[in-house]
Amino acid sequence: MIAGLYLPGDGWIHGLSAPVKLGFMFFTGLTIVVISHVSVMVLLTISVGFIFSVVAGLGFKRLWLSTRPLLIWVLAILLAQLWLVSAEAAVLISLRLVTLVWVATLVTYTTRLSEMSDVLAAMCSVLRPLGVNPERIAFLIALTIRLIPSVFDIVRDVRDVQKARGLERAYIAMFVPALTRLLRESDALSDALTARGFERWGDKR
Amino acid sequence: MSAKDTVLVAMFAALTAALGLLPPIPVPFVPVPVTGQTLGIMLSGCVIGARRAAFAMLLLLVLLALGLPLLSGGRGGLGVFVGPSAGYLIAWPLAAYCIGAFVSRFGASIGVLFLANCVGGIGLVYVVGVPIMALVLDLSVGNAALAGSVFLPGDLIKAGVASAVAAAVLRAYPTQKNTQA
Repeated sequence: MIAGLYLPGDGWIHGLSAPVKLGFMFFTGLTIVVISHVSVMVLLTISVGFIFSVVAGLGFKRLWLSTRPLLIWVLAILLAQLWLVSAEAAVLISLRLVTLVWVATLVTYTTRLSEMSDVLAAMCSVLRPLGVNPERIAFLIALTIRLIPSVFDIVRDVRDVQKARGLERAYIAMFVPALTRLLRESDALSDALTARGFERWGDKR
Repeated sequence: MSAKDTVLVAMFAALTAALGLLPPIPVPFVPVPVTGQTLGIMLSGCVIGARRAAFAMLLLLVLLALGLPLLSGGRGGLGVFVGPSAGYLIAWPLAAYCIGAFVSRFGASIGVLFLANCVGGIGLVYVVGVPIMALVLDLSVGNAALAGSVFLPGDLIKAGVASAVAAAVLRAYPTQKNTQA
């Protein structure tokens, strides 16, 4: 049920390593923030859109889908800036926002979850001297992903139960039993982990 | 981190994610859909204590950055960290910590819980979120605050629900086991 946003593909952007893409994203982000000429910004927006939809092969539909949640913000910018400053500023800021989000979304769509996790693991092992334990963090992430469907089921179960009693609008009556069940399950799970020697995981290896 | 800490952190990160997957709850007189995720922050802060709640929210942000669609409406990925609502996300761990610290200092009566949720879950989130929204949209902070205030009625309702739920849960399930450490 929990799938990443990664979209398989065989373009060369998919083939780039995750750190390269993240570095590129960071650099492009800085460039976007620094640019103050509308014409340069338009050019950059068009090229990022082209890279997103054609070069990476994600198509125009994906490009539109990742832009749609921003439209309400773009509208707000246009209204506020037209009123307060100028049409030029409004266009510049809107394009900045849209392009930044495109670049970041491009990285997410073309990079496997496992590659992103590797970057995270590398970052965590740098922090190891500060007491960060990469094995524990990897376990925490895996556990959370595993628990999301279970929590979802519990909340939905309780919701159904209360609906059968005519309490579908009583949010308090819905969340209290759900949360109590979550806490009970947490106790059972942590007992199970302790019984399997969790407290000493990753101590020496 | 003990096994118990680990499981509670993962469980409440998962809860906050699952609350985003549930269909938004329509509330009369509120123009924007009320999603459960703010509820997740408040409940974590109230129920599992400051440190664990902050870790749970941080973990959720890491999962989002890795590319999991865990925000309401199936949003996620690196894009959400450069959009106008990035500041609200960054505020989540701080908010959860603040709520937890407030509750462990002043007790877990429903009044304190409500105050903690308003200060941490609403006040702090807005204090971080609104200036960043202003920065991204290049608005004045005042105008951004005006735009952000459409969420205020919904957030107040959620603070009320979270406080009532947390008070009942803390009574139903031994407190010292949850809020210590």
